[in-house]
Amino acid sequence: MLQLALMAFLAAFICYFVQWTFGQPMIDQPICVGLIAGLIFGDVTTGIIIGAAMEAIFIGNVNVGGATSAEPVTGTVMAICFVTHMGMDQGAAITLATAVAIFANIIYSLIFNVLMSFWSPLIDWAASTGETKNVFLVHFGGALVMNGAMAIPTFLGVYFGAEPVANLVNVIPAVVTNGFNAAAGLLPAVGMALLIRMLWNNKIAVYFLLGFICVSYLGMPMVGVAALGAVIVVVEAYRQLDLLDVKKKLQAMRTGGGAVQAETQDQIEEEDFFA
Amino acid sequence: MSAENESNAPQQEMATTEDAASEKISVSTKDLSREDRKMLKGIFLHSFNIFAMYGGGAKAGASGFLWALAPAFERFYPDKKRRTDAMVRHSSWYNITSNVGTFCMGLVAAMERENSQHPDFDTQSIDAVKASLMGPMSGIGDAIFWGVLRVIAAAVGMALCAQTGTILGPLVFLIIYNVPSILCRWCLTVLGYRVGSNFITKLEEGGLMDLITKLAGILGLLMIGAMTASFVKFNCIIAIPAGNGDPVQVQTYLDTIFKGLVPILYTLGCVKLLRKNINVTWLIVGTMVIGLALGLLGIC
Repeated sequence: MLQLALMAFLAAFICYFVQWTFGQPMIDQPICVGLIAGLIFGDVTTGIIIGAAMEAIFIGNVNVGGATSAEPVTGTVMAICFVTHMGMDQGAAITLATAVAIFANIIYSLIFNVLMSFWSPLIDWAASTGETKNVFLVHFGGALVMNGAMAIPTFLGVYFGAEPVANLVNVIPAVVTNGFNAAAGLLPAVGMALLIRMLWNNKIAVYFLLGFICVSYLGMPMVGVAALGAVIVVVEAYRQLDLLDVKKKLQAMRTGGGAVQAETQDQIEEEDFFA
Repeated sequence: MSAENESNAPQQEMATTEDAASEKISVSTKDLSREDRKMLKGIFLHSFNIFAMYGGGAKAGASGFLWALAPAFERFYPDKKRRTDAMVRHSSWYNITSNVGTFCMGLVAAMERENSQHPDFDTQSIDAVKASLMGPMSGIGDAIFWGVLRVIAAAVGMALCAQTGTILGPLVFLIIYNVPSILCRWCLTVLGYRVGSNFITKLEEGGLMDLITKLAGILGLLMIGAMTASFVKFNCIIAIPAGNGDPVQVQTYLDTIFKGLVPILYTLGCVKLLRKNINVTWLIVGTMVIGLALGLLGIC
């Protein structure tokens, strides 16, 4: 059990540390967590499938300045561990992971806002010495502490959760498993809704429907939809730039243009009057 | 009026070519000095570590910003006292979307250069510029990188591996996201160093910021629509027994009305609830309960 828990800790730590320390390459997105946890637990295929399913749920979970609604890394790693080593059903694992993600988010914000507050005096100290190498020490030392702390819940989850989960797996009735699968199927809707809210604008909302139809009726692959999107964006960009041009010219004619043509004050006033 | 037109011309050109290259505003480092290039490379590399330690309320992002600007501090302030002054000035809250924040870093580097050369430079203006950039830059950066680029990358990646679990999925996701992200990071470092601080204001006045946000929104919504169709799943297993012949599947009826009727309605329902300020956590918990109930009732 300890060995599994340490493996889970390692997977979570790699994801957090690389994400935050090396320019947010999005390695802590569930799809990549699936790859890393899959490699560590020795079943890449299962890891990636679960990661992709979790990605669909948490794609709307945008991390802006540490303010998130859920924290999917812990849940994803635990789900992959339970499926690969405890024989848990995937639908059940994904539902469990989603619940864990909500709970983990509370711990995550505690670490961000409370634990790391104790680090602030060190930043002030480093600045006041005027040495950039002190900044380096404080910055990367803090990174190790912060990311290590964030991976601890994963360790605890696997260490204390694995045995009860292994016992539960055998007694779950089929209707409950069906229910978990139904929940796992519907959960991505919440993620999509979060994204839609972020980009929603009544004038362009119809493109959401277009994307939906492209897949549901036309069965287009994602790359095809993205290419179609690129065409639409280019066409729209030219149209809008022309529109901006026309607007500017109109404005110039109304205000500045008048001043250039009108030679006397009377003429300007006259133009204003007619405008 | 003609002067206004001239100043707008490079912006329009920039928007059409989209690589921010024009006569006046350039991201090329060819005409910069060797030291400039070395420093910009340093800032670019350090900028990757910006949020390595992002925590602690009031000083969030401060140590990252200090570390990112370290090459500039070292270069412009060989004198330790002035360097300390600059570093203390910058040990304050900082948060801009990581991929576009380099613009602010380049700009601050340029202003620190001015400050190091002119003793009567108003250092408050540096703080003011830094603070004023956070809102607009994060807004557009989050929309483009988190809202659109990440979504496209994830959509393509997930479609590749959701069923098969092939390693290509995560790799394609990482490549699609990171190549533009890194390019943008570098170009904006140089751009920030080269242009004046009123650049963003000019863009906003010219209406180009709105245009970029709108275009990003179109692409984003299109991809979200496609993902909703592929990844939100609902399959009703109720079959109504017909008097003679095969039982009628309810799902077939639903598909005849509109293919993917339940997923799209459920998603739009969630949007509606979110817009009424219902907490996301409740939506997730509610969806789990509904899913379980559907299973227990034998509907799914």
